[in-house]
Amino acid sequence: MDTGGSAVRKAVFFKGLLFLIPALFLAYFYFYPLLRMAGLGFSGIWAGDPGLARFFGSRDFVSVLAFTFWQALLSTLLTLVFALPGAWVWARFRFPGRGIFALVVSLPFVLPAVVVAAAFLSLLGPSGILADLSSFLFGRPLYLEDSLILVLLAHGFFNYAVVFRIVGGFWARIPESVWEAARILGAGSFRSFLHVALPLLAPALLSASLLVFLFCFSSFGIILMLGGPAMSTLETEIYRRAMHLFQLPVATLLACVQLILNFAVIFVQGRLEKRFQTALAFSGKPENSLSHGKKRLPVLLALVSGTIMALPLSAMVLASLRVGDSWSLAAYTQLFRESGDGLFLISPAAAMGHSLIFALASMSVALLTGLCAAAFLSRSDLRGKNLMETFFMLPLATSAVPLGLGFILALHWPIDLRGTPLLIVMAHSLVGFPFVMRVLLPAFRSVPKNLMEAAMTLGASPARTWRLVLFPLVLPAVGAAAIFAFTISLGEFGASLFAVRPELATLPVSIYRYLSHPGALNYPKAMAMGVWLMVMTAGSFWLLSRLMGLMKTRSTQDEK
Amino acid sequence: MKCLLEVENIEKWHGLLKTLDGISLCLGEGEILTLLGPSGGGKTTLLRILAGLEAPDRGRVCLDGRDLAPVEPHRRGVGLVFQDAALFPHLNVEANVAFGLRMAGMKKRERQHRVFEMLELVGLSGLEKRRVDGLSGGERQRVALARSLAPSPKLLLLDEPLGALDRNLRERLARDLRTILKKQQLTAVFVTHDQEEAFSLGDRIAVLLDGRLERMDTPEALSAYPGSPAVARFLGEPNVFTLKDLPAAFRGLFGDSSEETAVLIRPEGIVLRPLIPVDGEAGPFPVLASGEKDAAFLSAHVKERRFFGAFFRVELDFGGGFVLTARLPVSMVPPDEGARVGVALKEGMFFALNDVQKDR
Repeated sequence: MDTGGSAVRKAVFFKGLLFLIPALFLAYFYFYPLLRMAGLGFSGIWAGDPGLARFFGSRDFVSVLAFTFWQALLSTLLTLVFALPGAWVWARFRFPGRGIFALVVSLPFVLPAVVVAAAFLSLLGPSGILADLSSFLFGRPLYLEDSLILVLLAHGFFNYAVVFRIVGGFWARIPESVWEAARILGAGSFRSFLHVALPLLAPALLSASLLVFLFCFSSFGIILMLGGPAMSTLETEIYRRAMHLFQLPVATLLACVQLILNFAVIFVQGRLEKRFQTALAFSGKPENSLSHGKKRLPVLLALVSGTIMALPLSAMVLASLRVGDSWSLAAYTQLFRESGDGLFLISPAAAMGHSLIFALASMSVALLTGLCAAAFLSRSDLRGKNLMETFFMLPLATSAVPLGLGFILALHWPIDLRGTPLLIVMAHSLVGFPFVMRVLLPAFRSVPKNLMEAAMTLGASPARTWRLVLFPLVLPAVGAAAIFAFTISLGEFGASLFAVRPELATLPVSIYRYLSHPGALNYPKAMAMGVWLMVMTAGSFWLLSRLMGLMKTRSTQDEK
Repeated sequence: MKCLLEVENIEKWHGLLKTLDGISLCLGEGEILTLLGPSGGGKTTLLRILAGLEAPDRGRVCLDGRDLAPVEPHRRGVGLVFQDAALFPHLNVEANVAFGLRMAGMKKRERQHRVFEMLELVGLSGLEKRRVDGLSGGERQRVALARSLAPSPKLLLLDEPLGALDRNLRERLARDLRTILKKQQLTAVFVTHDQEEAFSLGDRIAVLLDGRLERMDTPEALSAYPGSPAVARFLGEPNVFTLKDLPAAFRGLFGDSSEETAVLIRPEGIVLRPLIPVDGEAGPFPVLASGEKDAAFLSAHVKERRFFGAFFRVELDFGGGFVLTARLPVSMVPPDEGARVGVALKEGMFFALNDVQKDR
C-alpha cells in the first residue's frame, strides 16, 4: 500500500515491530542461551578440562549415546506393535464404542510426561496396584522398579496416539475399492495386507515411527522417573552432570550433541514427509464407509487395547484415593497442607497456584510473540520468508533440558534472571511459541487478501481492517493457540526442573519431588496432583477440540 | 467531455515484466467503461491501481480533478467489487452491506435504511439477517454490489464480478447490473474477458492487450472497425491477413495499399455459389444472383464443415496455404466437404485495418 509517504512510514514501522518483537524474544531467550552454552562447552575443550577428557574419552559417552538410541528404537518398535492393531481396528471397522476407544487411546499423548510416569508407577511400581494385588493373591509382590521395561511401556503408552492417529487416519482414508480390487484379483486377507496395505501405508508408518523415535530420543521425565539413577540417556545425563555432579563443561557438550542429533532427526523427518506428500495423497479424502461385519476379533482387540490403555490412568486415580491401607480422600483434603520436608516439598496447592500463574503468564507471552510472528510471516512479501519461518520454528526442535541448561548458564546478563519467576515464564513461552505459530500461521494465511482489500475500499483504515475483519476471522485460532500454550506450560517438566527455585515449584516438578521423597502421604498426594494435572490438561484439550471444530464450521454472528 | 476519472500514461512493472504500458484514458461522469482483454492483459492491475491497492511506477490517476497518488485506498471513495465477492464471512448480509457506512460514521438508523434501500435495489430484500456462506453465487455478487454501492462511491470498479457464475445467471445479472448502475448514475469501470458482457454492459470499451490500451471506443464502433489486427484477432475474427498473403484476385479489392497492410474479411461476408462447368472455357465461373453485386470471386474447395447450432462454419481452401473461414446462415444448405465452390465477398465486409487504428 505504497501510497503517500507517512502511510508508508507507518506501515514499515508496524511491520518492523511485528518482526522485532518475536525476533528479539528468540534472540535473547533462545539463540543467546544456546550459543552461550555451546561456547562454554567448547572453551572447556580449549582449556583442556580434565573432566571432559575423562568422560568423552571413556566408554561412558559411547554407552550413553548407544543406550539413548537403543531405548528409542525399542520404544518405537514396541509402540508400533502395540498401536498398529488398534489403528487397524479403528480404521477398518465400525463397532459400538469406537469413538470412546479413539478417545481413550489418544488421551495419554496430551498428558504431561510426569503424569504418565506417575500413572505407571501407580500401576506397576513398588507400591503400585499390581504389587498390592499380587501380594494379596500369591503372597509375593510383583513390581517393576528402575527398569527399562517400565520406560518402554510408558513410551509405548504415551506414543500410542501418534501411530494411531497418523497411520489409522491414513488407513481409514484408503478407498474401499482398493481392497475390493485386491480381493477380486485373488488376494486373501493376509496377502492383501502384505502386498496392498503395507506398501500403501509405508509412508505413514515411516513418518509416525520417526516422530515416535524423536519423542523417545529426547524423552526426559519418563526416563528420569521410571528408569532410576543408573539409567542414563543424553537428556538425563545432561541433567545429572549439571545439577548433581556440577560438571558443567560435560553437560554443555552433551547438550550440544543432543541438539545436533535432535535437529538431524527432525530434518530427516521433514524431508521424508515432503517426499511422501504425493504418496499420502489419500489424506485429503474423507473416511470411507466402514464394514459393519460382525467380526469378533476386531472388537475383542479394541476392547483389550482400550482396557490396557485405560489401566495406568485409572490406577493413578485409585492410588490417589488410597492412603495406607484404607480408602480415603485424605490426599485431596491435605493438598493445602505444607508437607514436613519444608524446602523441597511445598504444598500441592501452592504448586498448583504457581503452575496456573506461570501458565497464564507464559501463555500471554507466547501469544503476543506468536501473534506478531504469524502476522508478519503471513503478510510480508519479502524474500527468505521460508527461511525465516524455519528460524521461528527452531525451538520446536529443541528438547527442554538443553534449553533449561542454557537458561541458567546465560541469563544472568545483562540482568540476572536466574531464580526469578520470569525465567520459568520465558522458558515455557519459548516451548509454547512454535505451537502458537503453528496454529496461527495457517489461520492468518487462510484469510483471503481480498477481504482486507474489500474493507479498505469500503473506507476502513488499516487498523480498523485488522480489528473488524482480520481479527474476528482468526479469533478461534487465537483461542486454540492460547490453550496450546497454556497446556504446554502446565505440563512442562524438563526446563522447569532446571529453572525453578524449590519454593516456586510447579505441579510437575512437585509431583516428581513428592515421588522421590517416600512418605506415607507423599505418594497418594503425588498421585492426587497427577490426577489434577490430568484433569486440567484433558479439560483444556477438550476445549481445544471444540475450538478447532468451531474453526472448521465458523459460526456467523453479527458483530455490532 | 469533462473527465471524472483521468488516467495519464500509467506504467507498471512486475519484476522484469511490463504489465501496463502507457495507459491513458478519460471517463466522463455517469459513464460505464468496460476493460476488455485476455487474462494476463493487465486489466486487474489497472483496476487495482485505480483503487489504490497498487501504486503505478509512472503516470497519474486523477479523480474529480484531484491527484489520487497520496490518497490511501480507504480515503479514495472508490468502490471495488471482487470476482469472488469477498464478503466478510463473519458478518451477515446486513452487516456486510452496512460495513462501508459504518466506516463513514453513519448513524445506525440511517444505516439500516440505506441497507434496506440497497438490498431492494439489487433484488435481495428480506435477506438482511442471512449468513453469507449460505448464499448462492449470484446472491453473493448481488450482496457485494450492494455493499460497494452503499457508501455512494464516486467511482465503482468491478473486477470480473460475473466471471465465476454460470452462463444463464451471468447474462441475467449483466442486464440487471447495467440497469442498476444507470439508475444510480454511477461512473464505473468493469473488467471482463467476455466479449458479450463487454459489449452489452459498457458505454465504451477499452481493449487491453499485453499491457497496452489498443483501442477505446463505443461497442458499435469497435464492432464495426476493430482497429488493429491484434484487436480483431482478440475479438475472434478468424480472417485477419496481411495483404501479401491474399490470392491475387482478392488483393485488388483493397486498392493500392502496401503489401504489409493488415486486412480483415468478415466470415459472414463470404458468399458461396455453386460452380457450373462451361465447355470450352478455361475454368469454372460462379453464378451470381441477379441484383447482387459481388465484389470478387474465386474457386475453392470445402476443407471442413461444422454445424454450430445457429450457423455453419465452413473452411475454404484456396490452395497455396490460404484458408478462409466463412459463416453461413442455417437457412442455406452448405456444400459438402471436399466440394468445389465459387467464393465471393460482399461489399463492405472486408477492409484494411491499419489505417483505422490511427484515428483512435
